[in-house]
Amino acid sequence: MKKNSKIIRTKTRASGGITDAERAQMESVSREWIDIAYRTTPIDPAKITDAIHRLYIAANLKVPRVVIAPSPLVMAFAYGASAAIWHRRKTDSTTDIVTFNATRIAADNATFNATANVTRNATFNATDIVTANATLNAIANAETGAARACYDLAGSFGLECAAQWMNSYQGGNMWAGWCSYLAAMRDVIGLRLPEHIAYQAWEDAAREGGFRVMHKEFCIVSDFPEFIRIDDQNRPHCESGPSHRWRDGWSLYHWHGVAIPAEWIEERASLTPQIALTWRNIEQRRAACEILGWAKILAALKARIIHEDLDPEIGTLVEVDIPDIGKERFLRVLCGTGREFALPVPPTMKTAIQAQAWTYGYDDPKDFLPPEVRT
Amino acid sequence: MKTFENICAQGDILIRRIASLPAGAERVDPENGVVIVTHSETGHHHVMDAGAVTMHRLPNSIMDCLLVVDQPAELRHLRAHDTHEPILFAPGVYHVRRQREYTPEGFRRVED
Repeated sequence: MKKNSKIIRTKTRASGGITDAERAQMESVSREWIDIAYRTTPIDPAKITDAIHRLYIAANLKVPRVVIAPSPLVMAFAYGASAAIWHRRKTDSTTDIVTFNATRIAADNATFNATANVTRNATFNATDIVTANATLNAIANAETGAARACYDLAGSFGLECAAQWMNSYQGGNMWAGWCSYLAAMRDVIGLRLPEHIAYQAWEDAAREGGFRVMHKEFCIVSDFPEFIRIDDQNRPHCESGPSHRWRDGWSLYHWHGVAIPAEWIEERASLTPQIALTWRNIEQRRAACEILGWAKILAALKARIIHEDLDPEIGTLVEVDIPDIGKERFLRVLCGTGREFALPVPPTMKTAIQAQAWTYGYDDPKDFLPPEVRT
Repeated sequence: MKTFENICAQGDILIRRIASLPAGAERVDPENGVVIVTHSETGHHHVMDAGAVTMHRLPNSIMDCLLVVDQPAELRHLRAHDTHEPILFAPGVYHVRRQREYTPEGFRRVED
């Protein structure tokens, strides 16, 4: 903090930087919300239901039915089935009011029945298979089970609705970063804004639940994972299994924060140097190369260095022999974050700087000037 | 914060200062208060404050864009981990090139 800065603290305004004492308190708030983001204890139905009810009330919406799903996967498919059923009920009501009146009570219960069945079926399918099969099969069957339950309840329209789950989701504890910031402004800096009253329900829902999908009639909230594995920078990461696993068996895999296919970890032999180097997404390609190790990739593909620039950010041009494809040239280059990437470049490239110039659209390397700053 | 005179790079984009906005460049609308300089499939966009910067694009251009910076503004990378450090831009006009990679059919934009 600058000594000359003028600290202003009122209930509605804060400016002038932060004091050392405030910074220390913010560290505490940050740690608290990091812990919430990594929560693995089971969800408390009463607490999350109360928070969601208050959240809807704060938004001037009627109190919804709250259903807890064992994982975000089941949440998404339960959402699809429930949204489809509700949509059909309401669409029908516009064309056949008699039918609507006759089935009103049934419609009122549609969400509960749909979500309860989806959740129960998917959970049963997933957990049953978890106990019987290996991890990969369990994940596949958890996904298949949830999808099948959705289809059984609401047909292909239910699956189409499930695919739209991201349009109505909120992150719960997984969006802890925003909550941490707002909590620090309120509890450390001392802001007391009218919005804080409504925000309390949001904050409580973040403490008490994971991802959620919100519908006018219902809200489906995912339970927390049963474990989360991270690296020394708090990024999801595990070299020998899932980074996240929920209690129904559904899992995610990450390599230093980058989501990767489960097979790359569970069936290491399936990840070949060819797959690694030709993977389309560059972040996942980099992760694959790290998992395998550059030495193994270069040795396996009989790599030949064509040209090595003195500047590692300009890189090294290598040629490899990829089975069924043939000779390909790649520019191995260090990015501004210190990570190494591999970019396929045309076979006509002769030098690393020519290859780098080409990647930025300069067909003539004389037109390319290396950047003064690279981050 | 890092600054530059003429050329800088942030992740998969290269930025070069140019003299003026080319004729025919069409303005691109900002989103939620920011100019999305490059869009990421995973949401890790590179953005600038729409109050300080306008973005333009030449017709049919998919690999590059143009920035008119009216007041000092930073180029930010929206990712919580392995974040590319912000770079401060001075007022001026800039040409942004997005990185590409080779495919047997030609080339494609680098995806992250």
